[in-house]
Amino acid sequence: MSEILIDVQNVTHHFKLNRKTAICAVDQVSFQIKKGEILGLVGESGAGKSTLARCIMNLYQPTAGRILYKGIDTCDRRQFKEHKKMLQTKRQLIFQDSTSSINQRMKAVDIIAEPLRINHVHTPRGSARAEAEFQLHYVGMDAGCLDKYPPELSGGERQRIAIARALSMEPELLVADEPIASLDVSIQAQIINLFKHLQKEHGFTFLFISHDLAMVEYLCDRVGVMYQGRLVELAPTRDLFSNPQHPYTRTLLSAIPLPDPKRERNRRKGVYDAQKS
Amino acid sequence: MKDLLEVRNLSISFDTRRGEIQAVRDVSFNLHSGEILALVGESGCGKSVLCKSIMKLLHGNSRIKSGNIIVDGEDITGYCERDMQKLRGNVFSMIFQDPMTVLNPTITVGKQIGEAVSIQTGLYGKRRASVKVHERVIELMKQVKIDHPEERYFSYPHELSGGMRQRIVMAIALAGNPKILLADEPTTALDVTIQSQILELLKEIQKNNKMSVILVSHDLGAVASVADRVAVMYAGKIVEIGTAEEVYYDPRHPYTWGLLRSLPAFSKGRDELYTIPGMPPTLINPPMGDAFACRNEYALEIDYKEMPPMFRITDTHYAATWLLHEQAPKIVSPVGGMVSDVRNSY
Repeated sequence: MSEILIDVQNVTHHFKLNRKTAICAVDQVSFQIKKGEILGLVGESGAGKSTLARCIMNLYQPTAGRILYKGIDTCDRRQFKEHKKMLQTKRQLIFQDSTSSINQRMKAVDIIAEPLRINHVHTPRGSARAEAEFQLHYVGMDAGCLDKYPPELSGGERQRIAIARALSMEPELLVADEPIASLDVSIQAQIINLFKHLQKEHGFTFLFISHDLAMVEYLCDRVGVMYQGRLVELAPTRDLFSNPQHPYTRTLLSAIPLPDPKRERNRRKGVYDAQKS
Repeated sequence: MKDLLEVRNLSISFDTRRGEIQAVRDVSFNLHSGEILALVGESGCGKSVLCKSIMKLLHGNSRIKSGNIIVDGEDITGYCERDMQKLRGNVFSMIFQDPMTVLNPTITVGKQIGEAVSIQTGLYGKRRASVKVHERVIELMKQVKIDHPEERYFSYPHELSGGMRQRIVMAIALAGNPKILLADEPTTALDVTIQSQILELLKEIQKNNKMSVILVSHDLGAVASVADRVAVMYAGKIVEIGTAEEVYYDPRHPYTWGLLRSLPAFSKGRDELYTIPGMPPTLINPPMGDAFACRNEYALEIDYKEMPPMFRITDTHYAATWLLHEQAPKIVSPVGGMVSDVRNSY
């Protein structure tokens, strides 16, 4: 548990709107993720959670700061090139919208086996198809879905295929960018159970991005709260939920809907305004 | 309370190449004036189809097989498109799930609200209408709590946040002062804080304008704060309907139990979240008995053979499950007393 897998140091990312103005999407964020840990990242939309995830996955080049993965500076071009293969196989990303992140014209088996083909990975189970079947079985689907196309599957099943694709490389770091936001409540619970189970078996490190605090509380070891590009609070899950320090965290907690109409009607919901406090 | 909208034994089917999809099967409910009715269920259970059929916005391959839709004492089931057009906007209007696809990205939001306003007030295409329309647009934008409406008038949809866009869509829907507002998953695309703001706004507008609202959602947790009554739908049928207190504190249908139990609030301190086993049935050839029977751990033998009727629990609370039959074994609800001890911490 003690070894640090990823070390984010003062990462800043700007989006240039035009020559003069830029939006600071991620502002001086620093944190570390230990090996085998599930870190949750919450915040409202536009808080910079996804931008940060993309910086960690090298999809964006941060404007300033360093991201160390096992001591390798992934933002440095030379070091990245040196360890390119390892970095590209051992870190995997799951996107929010499975309809757009999966090729609609490929069969499930091809989608799951594609990373193996691209990276010329030796398949321990004989063929790529056997490998895909194994991964599909692992995420709780049967082999009958192997030859189906994504539009024939439901949202939860598509998301499982995206997870199986990420797992086919046996990653050490899995970054999930709002993987359950577009799913039904009962399917959300299935996917969360799956993540928890997989993490226990594989022991990979997991960065889980969500705006649903109730699910984060259930899944994560530690939680970071982002607001307007800054990481405003980072604490172990239990401490954060029982004793929130930052006013924005308190606002977020007060917005979790309770399945209790009487109490819910009388509850006062705070609105956090950075300018006022 | 008077019934503003009454749906009687409505069945809707889609004709496809694979066969007839029975999206809504024999649904009856009524909407009182000045209340919020939440329609809850998994995706594909027919919530949206039901809403669209009331507005008559369904595609050509759909048809109303049987049943009546009665608005304000008048049967609109057989209305033609021209008659419906008169009702849309000022008797009922609809908010859709994704505000980005509803709004036109190339026109400023003020103009888009203005278009609805001018059609509803009959000012469309008239000379010197623009001042009146502009005033009304600003008034609507204030009503949905948009700051600096004069500046926002000239914004394009992509310049606004998701919550803001949903407010614009609400303003368009409110342009004709509708009596019934159908909100089809208005908060699903939004995050938690914005979701609670939008729902609160919806409640406030409903009170001020004395509207009735049908709120469609898949999340029983989210609608708890605003719903006066809750209807739970499964496989094209309403399986339980009652006031919010009755459905949340004393749910009777196993599917409602499942939906409530799968909320993380009920799994606190447990190792695994509860999930409803299996998948919803396809509606091409729906099963003979209770559609939920194969996923139901409390299923009785009769569930596989015969469709359960609506059993009356109180005057407002009905549920369609054989468990309520007098010969059925008594089963204590697994979520009954749990609501009270969920999360005292917040």
